[in-house]
Amino acid sequence: MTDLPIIEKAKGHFHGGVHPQEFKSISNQAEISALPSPSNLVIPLQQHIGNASQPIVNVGETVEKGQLIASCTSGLGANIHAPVSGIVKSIGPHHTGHPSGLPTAAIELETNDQQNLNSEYLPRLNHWREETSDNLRNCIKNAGIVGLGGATFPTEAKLKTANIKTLIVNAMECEPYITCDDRLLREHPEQVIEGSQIAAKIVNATEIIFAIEDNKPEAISSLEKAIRLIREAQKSTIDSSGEPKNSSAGTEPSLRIVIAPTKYPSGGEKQTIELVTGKQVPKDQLPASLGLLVQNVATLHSIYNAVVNQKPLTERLVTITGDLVNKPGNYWIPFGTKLTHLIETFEVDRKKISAAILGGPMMGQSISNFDTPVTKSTNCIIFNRTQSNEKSWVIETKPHQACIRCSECQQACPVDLLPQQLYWFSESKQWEPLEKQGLFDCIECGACAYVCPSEIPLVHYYRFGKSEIRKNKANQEKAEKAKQRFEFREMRLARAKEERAMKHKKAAEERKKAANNQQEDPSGKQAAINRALERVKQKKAGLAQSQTTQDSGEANE
Amino acid sequence: MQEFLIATLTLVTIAFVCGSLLGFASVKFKVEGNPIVDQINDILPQTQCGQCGHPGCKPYAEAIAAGEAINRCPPGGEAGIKALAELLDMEVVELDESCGEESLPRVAVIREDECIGCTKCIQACPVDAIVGAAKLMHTVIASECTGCDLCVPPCPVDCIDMPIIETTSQDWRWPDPKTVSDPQVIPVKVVT
Ligand code: SF4
Ligand code: SF4
Ligand code: SF4
Ligand code: SF4
Ligand code: SF4
Repeated sequence: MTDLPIIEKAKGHFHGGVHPQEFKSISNQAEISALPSPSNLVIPLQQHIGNASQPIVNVGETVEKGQLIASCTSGLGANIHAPVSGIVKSIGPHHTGHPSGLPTAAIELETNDQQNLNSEYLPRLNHWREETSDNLRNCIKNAGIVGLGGATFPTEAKLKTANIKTLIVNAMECEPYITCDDRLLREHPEQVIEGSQIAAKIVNATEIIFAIEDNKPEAISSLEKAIRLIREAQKSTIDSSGEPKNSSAGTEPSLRIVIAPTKYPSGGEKQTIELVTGKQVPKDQLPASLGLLVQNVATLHSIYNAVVNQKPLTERLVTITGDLVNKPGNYWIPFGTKLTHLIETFEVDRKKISAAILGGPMMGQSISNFDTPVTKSTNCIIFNRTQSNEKSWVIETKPHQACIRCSECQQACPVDLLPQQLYWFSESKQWEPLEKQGLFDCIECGACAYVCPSEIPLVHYYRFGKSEIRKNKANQEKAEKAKQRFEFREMRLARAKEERAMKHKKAAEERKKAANNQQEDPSGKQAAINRALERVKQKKAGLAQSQTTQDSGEANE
Repeated sequence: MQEFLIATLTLVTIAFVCGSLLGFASVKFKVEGNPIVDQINDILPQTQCGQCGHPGCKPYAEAIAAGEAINRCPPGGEAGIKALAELLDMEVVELDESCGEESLPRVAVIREDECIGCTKCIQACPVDAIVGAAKLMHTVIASECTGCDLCVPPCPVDCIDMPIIETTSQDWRWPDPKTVSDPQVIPVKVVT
């Protein structure tokens, strides 16, 4: 195993893709550092895919850094811990950067001056090599770890997949401007590797592959160095013990690096898999169907922090960049830090910006309300001038031109869709053909919109289509339910009516029966009458007799 | 002996009545199983509000199948008329205003402290979306309520409100790109 080369070239390639200018050197020069904590934080209760977390603290309560403040109570979700020590100021709707602009539930914290507390809020584990997969997974769940590449899918749930052979570490970081994974690999390769070994142990993977673009030579060489050291250490334990099977090193998953040519969006999960393995994940299936699990660099680093250092996920590495930023670079930023605080810290000239870009320029979102906080999904914040003479990425809202059917978009699409068709069906609201064209396979990478000469906001049209189709399906489900309830009620009412009718019928019949009974028994009736007449006769006769006796008596006197 | 015969006769009569009722129901069901009626009914929104002049969506579906106009369902609105026209290969027409106007989805909410528990609303609700017992407070199961409005008039103390369902971040939808100019909702536009 150890004789395999550490570095390999990617076997496969994916359709389409684009080569936007990178702008990575703005932020990848400076070393990672931390910022002074902001005084006021807004921590959204939903920073992940799944159900919103439920707050378990009350307004006015003092919380310590790392303390659990909102927990996932049921189903898919993630815990949330206090990023700083402080007092819970409010719990309720806050502006949290939802694309709708609508407020969502959040916990507001006011920082106090006891930040040096470093309590361990996760249960202590043995060394992870001696722990069970279940315990390790639980630790990751408790720590509130979600996919930090942007998808924010709860990591613990992803690590439940069975039959995994290969763990692919997604270090592509293909979007322009973003450099946080690059810096993390340059500075802490051993920590990321250890995180990947923990994840590999949980899913029983036998190999770990770091997939990285060739535009990050420094990260590649620091990774290579770290892997070489590990291999040498393993070799020496094997040599000294002579029995590789008995030592833990013998069961360690192998480590290597696969380098892919720089092309956006090589960091898409399915694109990464295609590059590394040369295989396509079948439509409507998960990578697990090929025995693969993909994890992002930052996610693995947070797994390392949780399992080795008992540190819950309360902050993340964020690239702060753009031509208005003083000292651009990568910083550990606590969740809940507002953009206003960053604007101040990085001396951004507010007059020159109308909006910031959260995430990369291809898939990110423009945010004009600067009360928006940093969340688990925020990997990059770009402060660029609203208008720029230089070559730059700006936020534009001018009306677009008509589609000229040039099919540039089709050539750029990494999923091999027909973006112009999707646009056409979405624009004309033909939902059925839109879905048939594979709308839900679109990963919203924006490559099509990037190349479109008519500057059509294609991705927006796809999001519009997706949410309309989802709404229609929900409405249909609701209508179906209402229909069933209506029909059930009709049936119930009909039955009640029938029962009532039956009862009336029965009662009527009873009455008739009683009447019939009397008619069919005339002798009895007559007898009764006769008997009564008899009685009257007898009485009369008796009376006459006694009268005669009286009369005679009187006569006797 | 005679009494025994009479009892048997009564029972036979009852059985016969039951049987014929069931038979009638099954025949009726066959009519209801009419595929075109079902297809029409699937398009109707199942609000069961009666604005079309029929006691529910299915009766209206039957009426449409028998030739009634397709533009009498306000909750279905324009989209509903379009879908019906497509299914039946007819002209798209405007909504018949005499039936009502297309409005945003609503949900019934009972002001519970004012409710006297008369059960009138339960009897009116076409989808059994109200729970409560006599003389006790009543509640609407919001997820089952179709917003049909039928429980409002019978309430003797006027304690049922019909607010428009508010959009939350959970059910918010991306707006039609053709109708917005707000940069907040437009994904980043790339210019090099
Ligand atoms: S790139 Fe733009 S203009 Fe060209 S076909 Fe696609 S959508 Fe139409
Ligand atoms: S946004 Fe969708 S349609 Fe456009 S290139 Fe990406 S995957 Fe293809
Ligand atoms: S008007 Fe009301 S009852 Fe009639 S079809 Fe439409 S939703 Fe159903
Ligand atoms: S609760 Fe009222 S509005 Fe809602 S479905 Fe029942 S009757 Fe209609
Ligand atoms: S009709 Fe009005 S008062 Fe009567 S039970 Fe319903 S809500 Fe209560």
